[in-house]
Amino acid sequence: MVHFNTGITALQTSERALQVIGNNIANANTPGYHRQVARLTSTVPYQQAGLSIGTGVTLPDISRLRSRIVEDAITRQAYEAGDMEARLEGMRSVETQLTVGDSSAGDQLESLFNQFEQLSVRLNDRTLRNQTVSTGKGLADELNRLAGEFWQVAKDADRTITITVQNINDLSEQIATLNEEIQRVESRGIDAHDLRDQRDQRINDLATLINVDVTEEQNAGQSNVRVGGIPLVLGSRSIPLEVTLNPANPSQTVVVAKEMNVPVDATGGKLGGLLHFRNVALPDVQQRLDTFANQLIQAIDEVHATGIGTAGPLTQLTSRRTVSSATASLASAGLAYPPQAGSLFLGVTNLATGSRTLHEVAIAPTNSLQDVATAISGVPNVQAVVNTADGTLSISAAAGFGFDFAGGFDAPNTAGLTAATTTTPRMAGFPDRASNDTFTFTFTGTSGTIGETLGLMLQVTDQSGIVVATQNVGKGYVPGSALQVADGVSVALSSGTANVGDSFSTRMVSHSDTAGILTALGLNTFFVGNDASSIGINPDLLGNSERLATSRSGDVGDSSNVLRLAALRDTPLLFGGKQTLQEFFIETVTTVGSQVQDLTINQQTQELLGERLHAEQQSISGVDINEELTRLLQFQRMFQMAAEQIKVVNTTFDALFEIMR
Amino acid sequence: MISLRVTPQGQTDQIIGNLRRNSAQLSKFQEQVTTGKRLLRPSDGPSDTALVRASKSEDQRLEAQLNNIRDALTTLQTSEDGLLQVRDILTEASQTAITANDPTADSTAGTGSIVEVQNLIDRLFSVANQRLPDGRYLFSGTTTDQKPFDVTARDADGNPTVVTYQGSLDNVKTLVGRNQTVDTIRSGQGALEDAFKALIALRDDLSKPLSTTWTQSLRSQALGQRITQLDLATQDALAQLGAQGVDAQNLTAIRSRGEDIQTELRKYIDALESADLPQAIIGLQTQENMYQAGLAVAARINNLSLVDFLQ
Repeated sequence: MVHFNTGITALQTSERALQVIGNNIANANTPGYHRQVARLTSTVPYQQAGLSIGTGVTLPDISRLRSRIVEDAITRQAYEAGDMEARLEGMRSVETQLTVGDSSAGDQLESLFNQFEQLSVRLNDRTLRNQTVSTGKGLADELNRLAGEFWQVAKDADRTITITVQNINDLSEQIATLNEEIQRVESRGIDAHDLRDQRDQRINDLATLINVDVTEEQNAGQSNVRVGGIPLVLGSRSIPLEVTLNPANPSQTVVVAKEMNVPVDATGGKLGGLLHFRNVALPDVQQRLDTFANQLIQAIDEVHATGIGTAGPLTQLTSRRTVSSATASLASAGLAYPPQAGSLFLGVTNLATGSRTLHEVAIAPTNSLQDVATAISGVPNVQAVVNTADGTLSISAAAGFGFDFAGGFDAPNTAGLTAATTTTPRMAGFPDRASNDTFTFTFTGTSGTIGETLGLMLQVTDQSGIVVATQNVGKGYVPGSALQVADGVSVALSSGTANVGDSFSTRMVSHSDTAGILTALGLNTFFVGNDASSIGINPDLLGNSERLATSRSGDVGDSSNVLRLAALRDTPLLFGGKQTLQEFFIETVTTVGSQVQDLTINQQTQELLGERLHAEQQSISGVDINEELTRLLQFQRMFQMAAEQIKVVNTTFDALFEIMR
Repeated sequence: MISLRVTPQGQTDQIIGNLRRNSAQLSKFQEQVTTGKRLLRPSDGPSDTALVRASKSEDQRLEAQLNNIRDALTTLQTSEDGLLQVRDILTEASQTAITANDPTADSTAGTGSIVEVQNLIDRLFSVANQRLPDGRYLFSGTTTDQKPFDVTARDADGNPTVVTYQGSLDNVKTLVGRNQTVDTIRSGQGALEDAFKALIALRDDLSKPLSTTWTQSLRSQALGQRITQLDLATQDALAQLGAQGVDAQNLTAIRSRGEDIQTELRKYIDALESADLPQAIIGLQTQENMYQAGLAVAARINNLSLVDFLQ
């Protein structure tokens, strides 16, 4: 007997196949959709009259075309690309800040040194002095700006991390929900292809955000997601993450699994990239900037503090770097540049007569600010008081006196001159020796008249007795003219007589602050602060450029201190004495540039790899409309033919019924 | 067989990716053409950026130093002019002394000589205390705001008898190169002080009337010593002039070398930093063509479908 069933199975099967094809066409552009293929199989035949007669066709299974290898590769590529992109975005913002226009910190630094050099020509030019202070302020402002911008960048990164973690939590929840739904559907023996597609897409979206490790439980159809062993999704449960500060290092942001309070090792995806940028790359640049500022401040302040402005000796001065406690030792008083054991030399000048004397004050790191004030107050005509309210030190000179920290020469000690010696010595120049010293000048040869007697000589010895120079002061010497001795020291002898054996001496201070107390406390310094965010120009200089310490003698035309400042340009201050300030800054900028370049290349590579992998995925899982249309026609014909077959079978029944009538 | 299967979605992804890359390249060449620069940010060429920055720093430094050299040369020139005037004053004084020492000279010439020498002293004051256009004293050493020479004693007629140098013993040092300075404003101690002493002494000797204690012979001897003193002072002035002349010559050589170095440096910076415009323009055109081709292909491929052929 002919059965309708055969035709009916064909109708039903082709109808279902058409639905599958229709679904493929509808989802051709759906992200993450894997094409489905109807797998037809013939139904169980029946045996009759020694024949096995087929009973039609059925559609037992709809396959979802997917390559596990390609999918896993796409997941891995997603978090690597996400990581690159996040790091690149961060470093690009840093690069932009460091190289803005022609007024970057490096450019401003060069301008400052150029200003110092130009000042050596026109020390009395008020406009140039004001410009120099202004340029210093510009440099400080630029460093402040950079520090502020990087702080803001860190804050923005934190915000983005928080949003990213929220997105991760949302996706984890969705994956967990899909796991539950898939299990519910598949437990009834039904394939949940579309739900699986959605889950795969969520997993890939999650992979762009964090480095995931996905495992699938074969029996339950669940996908478990872990990050460095810490679960994000376990079956139908998601474990949320949260952002917090690293307890071991509160300046760092970390992400922890909330319920377990265990840090998550996010080394990939956008989160991994953001965390690396926030905790490693950005702080590295910030650290370099602070190191640059710190060294710049210290180097310039050390020189400036031991100089004198064109206004001459100071009458009043207040420190600009505060201590946390006036009675605590300076080593633990919160100073950015703690002092060491050494001496501070104060020069005290009688403003009426011009007579100047040097006074040594011993400093130890165990001293408190109060101890330093007491020691300075021991210098005649100088007083120092501690301002306990703000942890500063104020120094003032008695009326008619002024003070400085320039060192130089003490008034010659003429105790060794007898009545037979009537010449008056006068020191000139500025001592530039490796350590502070005392020179003794002894007349030798033939006693007589300065500038006239043949063979009258002046021998100079240092404090260890070594002869540093022997000069003719008899015939041929012009009385009053400067004689070069050694290391920047000159001496002039007035007209008069000199007795062989008579001597005079003078203490010479090349290093007037071996303790570093001036920089530590911010006394007579160029800058205030100690890093990129706190650097500023000493308010004493703003609008008062006569306080710019260009000399060491107080003479308007003495450029000795501004030359020392200019020389810092070529002094290797960083990297263990191997890099100048400018070299360090250039290296900072070009290192960031190199990182951006490398990340750009990596990102482009990841992009190409991603495209390649997606092309591979498409070749396996993608929907080709033309293919589906062809299959559509195929099953349409099958449906039509099945309907025809049923019509024919019906006709045979009609013929049979005709026989029975 | 699987790798041969290209879906419309796959084609679209590929087209979009290629358009994106073309667009990025276009943008890069466009930037180069409009700015004329190849290095717009450190990531465009980190090692070249380091060279450019270091070279630009050096260029700015050279510029500052060349300005300093120009200023220093101007100051030295003014100082040289001053010293030449000192030399002329001393030469005239010497001539006056020689004339006054001539026993055949008219006795009335003596009075004239005294006035002449006094005038020379006044002229020397004027030269020794001269200022530069910016107000600094030329012969005061580092105390450039301090008048170098002042009268500290006068005779009954008000004529200066003692002129004291009040300036500094130290010279003003101007930075003209790496760790290189030149003395621009020198101390007036020495040459000028001696010149004053010699002129005052000559005037005093000429002023003294002849007497039993001041005979013609003693006068003649004294005038001879004054001539020697004037000669020594002239030699001191010329020695200083010579030293400054050498400094000026050296500065001129340094300036010339500095200008040459600066020219080469600027060429070097330009070579590193500037875009190769012809290459950039060709690149721009090429990328533009590729972009247009990509768009045309996208339009063509997306138009192909089986639907168009179904009846």
